This record gives sequence, C-alpha cells and structure tokens, in this order.
Amino acid sequence: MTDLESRLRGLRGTTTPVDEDTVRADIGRARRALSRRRRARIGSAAVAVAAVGVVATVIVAGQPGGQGSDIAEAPTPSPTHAATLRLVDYTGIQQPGFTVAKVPAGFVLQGATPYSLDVAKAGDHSSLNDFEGKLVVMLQSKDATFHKTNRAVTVHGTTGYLRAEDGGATALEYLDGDHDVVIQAWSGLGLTDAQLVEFADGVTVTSGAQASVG
Amino acid sequence: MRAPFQDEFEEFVRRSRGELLATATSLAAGDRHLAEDLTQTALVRLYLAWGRARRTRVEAYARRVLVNCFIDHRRRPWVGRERSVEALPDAAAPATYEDAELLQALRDLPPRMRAAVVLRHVEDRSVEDVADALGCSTGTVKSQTARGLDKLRARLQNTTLLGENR
Repeated sequence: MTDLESRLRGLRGTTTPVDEDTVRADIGRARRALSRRRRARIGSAAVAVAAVGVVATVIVAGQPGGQGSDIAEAPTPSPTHAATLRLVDYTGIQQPGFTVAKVPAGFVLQGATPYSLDVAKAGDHSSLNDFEGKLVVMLQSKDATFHKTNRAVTVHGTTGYLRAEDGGATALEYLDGDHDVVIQAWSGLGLTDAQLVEFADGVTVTSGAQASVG
Repeated sequence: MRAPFQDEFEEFVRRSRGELLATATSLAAGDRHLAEDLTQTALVRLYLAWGRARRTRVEAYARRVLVNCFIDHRRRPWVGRERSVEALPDAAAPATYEDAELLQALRDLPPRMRAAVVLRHVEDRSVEDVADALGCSTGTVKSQTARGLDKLRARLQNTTLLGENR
C-alpha cells in the first residue's frame, strides 16, 4: 500500500451508536416526505379528473339536446396542469441582485440575500433561506455545471431547461448573458411550466447578484 | 407504508445510520454539516423507496442513494433546507480528520471521482461494490480511482513544493 493510500485509509471515521432522538427525527422527516408525495399525487389526480370531467361535459353538451352554448363558454383548463395562480405586473420596489417584471397574484418580493431573491406570499415571514412555498431566483452555484434535461423551453430567446427537484419543486435553468440563472418554484404553488417561463422572461440579473459556492 | 415496513426501516436506521454518516463525512471531505444533511436526505429517499429497497441488499442500496445525494448536491444550486437545532445531531466520531492537506486535495476532485476514491480507498470497498454504488462498470471505477489518485498525488506534491518555497 502506498503512502497516499495509507493516508486515505486514515480518513475513515469510526461510527458511533445512534440515539433514539435522531432515529425519531429521521423517521419524522421521512414520513412527512411521504405525506407530501401522497398529497402531490392526489392533487395531480384531482386535476386530471377535473380535466376529464370538463372534456366529458363539453362532449355531452355538443350532443343533440345538450346545453351547448352555456357549457362551451366555460373556461378550458390546460391539458396537463390547471393554473391556480395568475401572474400580474410587479410595480413595487425591486431588490438587489435581480429585478422582476411579474409576480404571482398575492405575492411580494419577500427579500434578497447576496445569493437569492425570494418571492413569497404576502405575510410570509419565514427565513430567506427557507424556500418552501416560494419562487426563488438565484445564480447556479459556481461549483455546478449547466444542467440540461429533456424538458427544453425558450426563455429570454434562448433555450432553458425545466427539471424536478427533491420535494417536488420545479427548477428552470437558463443562460442570461454570462449568468447561469436558476428559478425554483416550490411544489403546490400552482404555477404551470408556461407561467414559470413567463415569470423568468421578466427576470433581469443585476450587478448585485452573486453565485453561491458548493 | 404499512407499520411492519416502518419497523424495518427504523431498525435499519438504528443499525446503519452511523455507518452512512461516516461514509457521508468522507464523501463530504470532512464537512460534517454537509455529511449530516446528505445522510438525512438519503434516509428520506430510502424511506420513499423502501418497498423496493427492502427486497435488495439494503445497505448497498442505501450507499447508492447516499452517493447519488452527494453527486446531486454538487450539481445543484444551493437549496436552503437547514433548520437550527439546539444540539448537534449524532455524528461520526470526532475526527481522525487531521490530514487537512489531503482533505483539501479531495475537495478539488470532481464529485464522481471523489466518490470512487473515497469508497475504494477510504472505505476499502471492493471494486464491484464501488461500481454498484456509482452505477458504472468496474473498469470505470478502476480508471476513476487511478486518475483520482494521480490528481491527489499531483496536488499534494504541489502543496509540498509550495511549502518548501516559503
């Protein structure tokens, strides 16, 4: 064994017994994650059922004797995800790092750190480092590379990529000049992919934006 | 998840968490906070896939999940999920991590190469086990570890030379 291999072997830490508090915390986290996933699946199933219901109603309404004119004017949901939020023009004070042109209705710029801009529901006083329930704009970590997926979209006239993150969040990554921008929408916000792109089209990176490390 | 499965999972956590955390600490090149985060994430993912994991070699499956968590972490923008607690969570034994120079050199390796070197030479896993954890061929493991060791040697040599010049 070489000297380097001996030194590497010396890095191995020993294991210690696990206390019951830690086990309970692990189980709690895992069960909450399972609940979130089940809720997300139920939500998706409900949207699908609603979409099927609307389609069926329209078909029935189109039949002789059906209530054609009333039903046909009902709003048609998107084929995959019905938007529960709408984007509105943002006219408030901008934060350092990024500016936005639109926000989801009822949302505000909660604040910014040197690394991210948090867009949250009005009255959300959670930490700016807690991204749950928010839209977050940031620059890709300096240590990471541009992440392509098979969900390509057009953002700022260039190709961006959507991907699913842990916990069901959706991330959109695209290049804006020299900046590798990532926008993360927490699961359950109700934003469609198209709305996420529309939001991204209104984002401008300013000189105050910094990429994190790690 | 039905209760018996949960009992199995709890037993697995009691039995294997310390081992996972030690591996995570090596993957994180001594960063114990990151190691704890990776371990927690890996256990959540394992729980969500427990129905499948329990029908396999669970320890190997868990190691694979942990390595994926580490590689994903390195690829992902920073995501704030930390929560403050009063006491530090259970951790790998205080360190024998005194080889700061080697740890820094490890941190400079690309994530998959670092994982291969750590599993093969820090954890002393077989080439086959490392290939299973990384989801690649044994040939790839051999080439990744060889290149990783070369990079480490070069880095350590540079550091030594710089030290001598001072």
